[in-house]
Amino acid sequence: MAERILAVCEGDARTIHHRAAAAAGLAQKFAIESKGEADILVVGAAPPPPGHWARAWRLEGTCGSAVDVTARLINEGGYALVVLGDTPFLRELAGRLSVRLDLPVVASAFALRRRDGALVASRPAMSGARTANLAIGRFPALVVVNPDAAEAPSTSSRATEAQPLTVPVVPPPFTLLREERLSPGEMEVTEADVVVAGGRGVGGKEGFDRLTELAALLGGSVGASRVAVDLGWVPYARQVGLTGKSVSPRLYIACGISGAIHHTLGMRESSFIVAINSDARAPIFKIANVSIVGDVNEIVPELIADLEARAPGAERLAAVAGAGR
Amino acid sequence: MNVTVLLRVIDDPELASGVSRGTLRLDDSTLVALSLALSLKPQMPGVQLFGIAAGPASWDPPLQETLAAGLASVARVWSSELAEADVPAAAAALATGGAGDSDAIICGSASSDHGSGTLPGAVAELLGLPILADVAALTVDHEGVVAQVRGEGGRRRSYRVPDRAMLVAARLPAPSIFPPLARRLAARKVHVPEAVPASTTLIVGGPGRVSIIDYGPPRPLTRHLIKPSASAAPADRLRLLMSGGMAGRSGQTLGSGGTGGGLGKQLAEVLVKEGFVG
Repeated sequence: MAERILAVCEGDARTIHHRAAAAAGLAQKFAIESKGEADILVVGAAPPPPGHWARAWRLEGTCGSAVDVTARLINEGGYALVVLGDTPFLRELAGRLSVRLDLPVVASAFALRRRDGALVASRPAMSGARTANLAIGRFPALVVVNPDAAEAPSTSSRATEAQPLTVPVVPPPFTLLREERLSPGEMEVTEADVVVAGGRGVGGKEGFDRLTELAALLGGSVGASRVAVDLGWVPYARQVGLTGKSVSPRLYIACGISGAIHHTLGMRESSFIVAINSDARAPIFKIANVSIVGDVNEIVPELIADLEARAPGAERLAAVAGAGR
Repeated sequence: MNVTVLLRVIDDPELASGVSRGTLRLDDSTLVALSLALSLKPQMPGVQLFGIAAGPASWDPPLQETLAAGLASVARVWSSELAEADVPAAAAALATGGAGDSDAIICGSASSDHGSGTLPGAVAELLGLPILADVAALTVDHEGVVAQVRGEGGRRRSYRVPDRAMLVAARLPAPSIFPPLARRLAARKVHVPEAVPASTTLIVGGPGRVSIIDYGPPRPLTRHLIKPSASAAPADRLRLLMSGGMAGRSGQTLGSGGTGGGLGKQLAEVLVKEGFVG
């Protein structure tokens, strides 16, 4: 059955937001499987991700103004589905559109398929212990796509020129008073998006200096296991675990931490866990997304060197300047 | 200033072995929103904090705990149609059930809408409010409330909160809120009023729009296989292969994208692929 699908993504001046790229991928996949057409709307100045887009638009503005334009596109486009990336801006847009157009919403979907004639979306349920399959009974429907849903469209596909859409210029509702970039030492371990944590395997205070440098490059903070705190390598305020602080960052890099239960209880809610440990049987590997058996003091400097080579000059200088604990 | 917190209650079977009344509790994102609201009390004398939830009468015990924590009152909106309804209906119930009377609405990133994260936008659209997301802290200065927003890459932005706004709490670890026992016991005697949603327009269209047909196995954990260094000892190479496991995302096998470089370089490539490095 030929169906039309609209992908709504968000991006900065150069690229699509990493939490929105999956929406484009899922739209491409669905259009191919249903022999339909996929259109894309990019919020921001980024070019559309490579792929076979029948039509492409872009707009810049606040969510309040973007909702008018997007609602018009949906009304005129005859879409079965509108898939959106999982960013705060796009979730707000989905909520506003659901009310404005009285549309059903499925959130955190990672798959879309036809089953016995019904369109079924799958999403995590019961804290990830099961997958819920939901039948969509009314169209068009809004689907907020889980960032892990699908690979982004292949870069070998052709690039598409996006047509700019006119959005009324309205002042932002919230006045920005100040913006600052916190160094790892200034950032509480509980509020960081990225936590680079070390344990006994780091080997000493010098090892933690390298972890701080890595945290600065990733815009994060430094954490530690109880052992590292007891040895006096880092202050207690940095301790993660049952007798320390609980954290739930997007990225948790555990360096030289075995993963005893009293530590993992404080970090298991992290979205993405990287574990580096010289012991292949360390329990931390059971919950890690990336498991590396090796010496922290060899791997971390190599990682820092690679990230420094990728970082633009200004970012690198800012990161190094703010690296002091 | 009147502030309303949108409250969501979840079923937590782990509570069955404890001393809690039942297995229901406030979800973690709601606790973060609640602590943001409570942080205003010492900074802003006269601020009135209210709570509202869209849920059945069984939610009352955890809602009463919010009274002990410091909310002035808490209310529920509920009707049987809401059990099957989706985001627009829940938003309409909350907006017309009292949330619209506030100067500011604070909610968690997954409040009251089965964790979809789209309810704040829906409520804000109904009430004509702007939204500020990822709020990590609230402070008060001589001009009013300032919201500190968590940005990527360690960035922190401070925004002036206008007279009427919706604030969505950042995804932070759930804070521990332990009111004194006397206040908890007193709160248990407070009746939580229940209101039937005033708006029936959206609820009519609720059931059948999206329905769960069945449950399947969980998605596999995303894992990445790191290629052992070519110069590593055979025993180390074997240990690495045994520890890494399969790489998988939605059932697809992922290569590490390694180019023969060291482990640090391969890890950098994975971090770039996952969007942690710009």
